[in-house]
Amino acid sequence: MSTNETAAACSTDMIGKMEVGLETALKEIFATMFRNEANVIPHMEVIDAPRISSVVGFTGRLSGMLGMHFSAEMACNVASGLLGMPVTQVDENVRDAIGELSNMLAGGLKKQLSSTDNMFKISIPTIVSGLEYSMHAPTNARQLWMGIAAGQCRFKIQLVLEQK
Amino acid sequence: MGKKVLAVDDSKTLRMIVARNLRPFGVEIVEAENGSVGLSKAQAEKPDLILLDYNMPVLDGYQTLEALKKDNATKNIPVIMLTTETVKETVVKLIKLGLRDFIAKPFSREALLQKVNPVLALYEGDEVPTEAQVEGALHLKALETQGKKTILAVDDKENVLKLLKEFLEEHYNVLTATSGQAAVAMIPSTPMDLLFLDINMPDLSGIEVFKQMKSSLEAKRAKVVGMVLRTAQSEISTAKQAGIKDFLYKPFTKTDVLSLFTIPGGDFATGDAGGGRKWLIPGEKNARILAFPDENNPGLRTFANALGTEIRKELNDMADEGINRLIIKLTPAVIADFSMVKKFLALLELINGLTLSVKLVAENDKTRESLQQFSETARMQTFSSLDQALKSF
Repeated sequence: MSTNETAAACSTDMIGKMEVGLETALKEIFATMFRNEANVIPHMEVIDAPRISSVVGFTGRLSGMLGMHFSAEMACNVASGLLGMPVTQVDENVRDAIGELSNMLAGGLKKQLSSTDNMFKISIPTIVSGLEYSMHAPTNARQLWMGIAAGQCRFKIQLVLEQK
Repeated sequence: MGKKVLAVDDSKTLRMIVARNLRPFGVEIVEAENGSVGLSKAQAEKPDLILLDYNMPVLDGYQTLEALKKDNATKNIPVIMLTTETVKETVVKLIKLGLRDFIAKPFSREALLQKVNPVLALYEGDEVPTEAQVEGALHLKALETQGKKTILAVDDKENVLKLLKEFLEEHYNVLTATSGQAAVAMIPSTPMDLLFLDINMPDLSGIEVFKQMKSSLEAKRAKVVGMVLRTAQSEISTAKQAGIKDFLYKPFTKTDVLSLFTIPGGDFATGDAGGGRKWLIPGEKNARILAFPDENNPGLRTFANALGTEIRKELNDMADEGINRLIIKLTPAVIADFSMVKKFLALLELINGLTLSVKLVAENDKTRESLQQFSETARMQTFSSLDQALKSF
């Protein structure tokens, strides 16, 4: 990619493409693994404060971070759906399940952006949890927030894209 | 014969999803959390298929596939990659290395089965059977195996599971799980009569599994036997407090395991076994049970030797502890040879001397005929089942 193309990669157009890509990838995940429909909602409608997040970094022609933020209850719901068994508290299974979910989402986004170009490599997921925290992007990065509703599940997705 | 699949993925979630979808077809799942462990397990287990993740720490999917294909022991095992990686250039490289196929994450149950079926032949035709159809087929298969009882053995040590399978699979359907979490995932949907449950497992202890699955096990009327070292008194005590009443102590022999059952293929007889050759099994009503092996039991010689030594000592200890109720479960082996007859007679003399209250169990005509050789037993009550003998105390 040329310098100009790199700049364009970080443009609003690219953020828009990634937003569409994320939505498509998310719908595919929920349809295949949860047999459920996922829809994008205004992220302010997801009111529960996050208690556990899964964060995946990516680097290459595009670099940044993809985070999925859940309340404890929603994280357990998601884990129950993936594992096919009841999960009532946040434990190693829940952490692993949302980690795998963010891994699939990042991979799905990559596939949506291009099946021929290796746009980025994906890191292994990192799980963050706590009673009160927030995640901030560098001021010179582009950021996107999405709210997701899938069945009874409500959670947020945060995409941070580095300006190159 | 059931198929075996090695699932190599750093995500336990993915491994559990694979297991959940393949186990109902009778597939044994072996798990590895990274490529390095995957290579060792592939060599040791010789699976029919390897499902391999691409993005893993330690050794990634590409490196693992490369190593598998270089090793004569593993190069012919088909490998299907489970991956979010779908860039064509990478896929081509993998195919050139010998990858059989790949499954893109996320995947549905149907997508997984459609890809593995050409390798594993789990069902006929192109249409993936529904979960209800698979469950129905399983029930039919259970009937076909002549009503064999089903045992689930749970232990993080695979050599323990191997031993239990070896000792029991002639008379029982033996299923296995290698972790507490896997057991929790399996128990609700698995018909079983008995659960061998390792108490000390790293991810979820046997006690936690028992607590979580108690109502499910009670609904199935499945008996539970805790597996633990006899010297681990604190763990045994905690397990008893949780409600686990019966134990198989490690290390155990085939005789130890088989002595837990009334007859091979039969019901579980309450009590403890193993952990250093305890021959008298505790039963209900503070009774002790001495079970003769069958004539063809490979442990018969060991039992015969013990009749003259360890069993005599245990009877003496029992009397010293004030326990005086003894049930002897006999088989035709009691007249197996001259030596056995002599030792049994000596045992009866000892029992008389200890003034124990003795009941005999002879479950079939052959055993009852064998007993007629001994006038010494004429005054002892004889029953045709262990339950009846216990009730008579």
